[in-house]
Amino acid sequence: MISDFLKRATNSTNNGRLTVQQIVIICVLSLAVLLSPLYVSNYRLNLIIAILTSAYFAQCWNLMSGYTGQFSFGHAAFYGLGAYTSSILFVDLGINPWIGLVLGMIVAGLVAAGIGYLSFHYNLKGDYFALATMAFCEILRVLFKNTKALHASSGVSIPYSKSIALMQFGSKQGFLYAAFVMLAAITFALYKIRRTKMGLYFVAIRENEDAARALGINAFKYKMIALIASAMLSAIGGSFYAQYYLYIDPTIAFSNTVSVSAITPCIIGGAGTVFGPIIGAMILEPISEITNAALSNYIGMNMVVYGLILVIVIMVMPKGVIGLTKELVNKYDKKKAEE
Amino acid sequence: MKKRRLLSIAMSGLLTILAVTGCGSTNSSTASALGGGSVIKIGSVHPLTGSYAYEAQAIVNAQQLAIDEINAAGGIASMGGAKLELEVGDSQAGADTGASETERLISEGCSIITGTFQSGVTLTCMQKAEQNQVPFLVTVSNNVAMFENGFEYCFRIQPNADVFAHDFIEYITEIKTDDIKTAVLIHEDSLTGTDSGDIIAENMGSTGIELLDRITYSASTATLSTEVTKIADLKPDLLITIGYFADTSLLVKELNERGVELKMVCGVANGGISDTKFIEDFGDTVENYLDLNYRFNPNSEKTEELLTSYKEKYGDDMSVHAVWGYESIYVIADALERAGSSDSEALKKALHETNIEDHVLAQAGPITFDEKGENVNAAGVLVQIQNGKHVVVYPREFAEAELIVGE
Repeated sequence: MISDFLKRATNSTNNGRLTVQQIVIICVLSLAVLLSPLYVSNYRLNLIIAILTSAYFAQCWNLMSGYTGQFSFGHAAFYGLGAYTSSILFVDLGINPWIGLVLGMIVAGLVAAGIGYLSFHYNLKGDYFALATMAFCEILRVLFKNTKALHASSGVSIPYSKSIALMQFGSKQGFLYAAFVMLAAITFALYKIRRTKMGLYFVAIRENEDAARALGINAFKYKMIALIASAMLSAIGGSFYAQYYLYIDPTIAFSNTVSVSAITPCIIGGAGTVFGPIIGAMILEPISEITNAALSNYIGMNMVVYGLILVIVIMVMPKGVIGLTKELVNKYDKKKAEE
Repeated sequence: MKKRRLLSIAMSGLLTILAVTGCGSTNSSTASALGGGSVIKIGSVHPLTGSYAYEAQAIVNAQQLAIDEINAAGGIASMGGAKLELEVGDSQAGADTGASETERLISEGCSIITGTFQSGVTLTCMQKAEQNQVPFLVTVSNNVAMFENGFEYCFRIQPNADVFAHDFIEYITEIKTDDIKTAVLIHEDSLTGTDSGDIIAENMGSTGIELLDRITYSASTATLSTEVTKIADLKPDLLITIGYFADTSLLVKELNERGVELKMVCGVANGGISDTKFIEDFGDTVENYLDLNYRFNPNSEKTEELLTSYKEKYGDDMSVHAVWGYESIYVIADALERAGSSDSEALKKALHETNIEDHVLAQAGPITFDEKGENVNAAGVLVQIQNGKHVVVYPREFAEAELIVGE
């Protein structure tokens, strides 16, 4: 019974359609999020918002690195550009953050095009591409840190208002729903893309780029598309962060921690799957929050426990939660068949 | 078989965490059930893990020491002897973690939040406190701009970067001898260094000392050899340095190795020169180094008692940063006493009316806040390393020893 449910819940070959079990899970989780303001305290909403935004950012990474297999270690670059563009335009020039958000996407897209052109044109692959993205992110951090017009080290502090017109939703609920819509939209897009020609090209490039090229797929073009789309979507996440926390500086916006936070939920949940990053975020964020709160009197223990859990999870399920569930179900079936 | 064992490890790990968190949540609910009547919670958000852990722990220790003293003396009299309690949060040196810890502490019933040692993190936490309309008292963070946002609930006792820089310019003009004609300014390029660096570079002209060059570097750098080569070439009489402990140590190490001769070295709010460990590390070579920094008043009996009781309790010398954690609790206790309530509006109002004459800080005049929430009388003093000890040498009213210049 349970195994059957899990099998259908992790099924990804149902002609690209969702199984009933998957639809049920999605509906239950969505309802749980949408109704959470009714049964969760204002402070706990933080955690749900953190899960949603972290899952969103991980999905952005997933689009490029999970689907096309081009590992990026510098996604903070696009996140930071998004955060900075909307904030600086708003604080210095009074441009509405919603417009700033769109402009941020364009800036991030252009920078991504530059990075992508340089990297893919010279055929940087695997580890070398990952290192290049990290280097570009560092360059941006140093640039922002030392440019007066970009507020240099002082960063940008955004005045608090309660107006949706200024992208500040007034209450936690507003941010919650905005984050939910963002995550739902990107997940839906990823789900749809997977069965399109482009989605199949992405996966083909990930599995074997040379073979894909031999079949006539323009790998350069599709890698560029994935990178630019991923960057533009990451920029939205950055703008959202800036409007939620109301302060950014170069070390916050372009930090390695941000880049890593895009990757871990994917790895834990299952990279290259539609729902992996969401599951990953649902596991990681609560763990970090709970260890913080519960172990606040034992300084440093929170990090130790969090790290330990991460190690165990990676040892037990190198293919992420989705991969492990599939494996277990298969094993169970085999055993049953033998009997 | 192997997999099963791993799984059982994972499960037991999860169970432990569930058990621990279970305990955690019951604890906090009973504490909040007590309400403001007998216990007043004070939140403290500092980077207790990461590269500032040592300094952060010292600040929290000092806060706890102050709370223990106040509770032992009968708590807050106007609130029926209510006791203070410190609720600790770890920012992990990150802005978003700091912000979520601030909100956690507020949700657990803290009447006021203190923190956080890093300007970027402090500003993010201040935004959250302001939104929740809960007062926030800065322990350590010197960025100027963060008090320009029109916040109503935020306060700071320590001198900001602006005060540091202007005090430096003022004092150096008064103490310099005729043979000090040229200077080089070297500072790390984050908020801390840049803020003061800008003001000093702008105002060096008024001191009569010529600024030859301004050199910046990233605090996380592994070497400063290019920078030191530059200094060696320029041969300044005075080297002005703004940085943290690790990078300043690196700078001094390379200066020593090259044998660069300087007539005077002066830090501005320097995390290295003002640290006792710095003297242990470099011994004679840093004799007569100066630092303009915040400090406790060395000539007050109260300070002497404080330093002794801190050492007794924690077995370590009290750092200059820790003093601000200590004083912050007394400022809060004083406001609570006058407000007679831990309600945030009443507390905010009382904090604005603060006027504390009896404090341990090296500043002339009482602790009072202006409309922005900044301590009006905040000031820096010049500290010099003499015979392997930090002594205040300027201004005269706080001086423990005569200033030594030249040689």
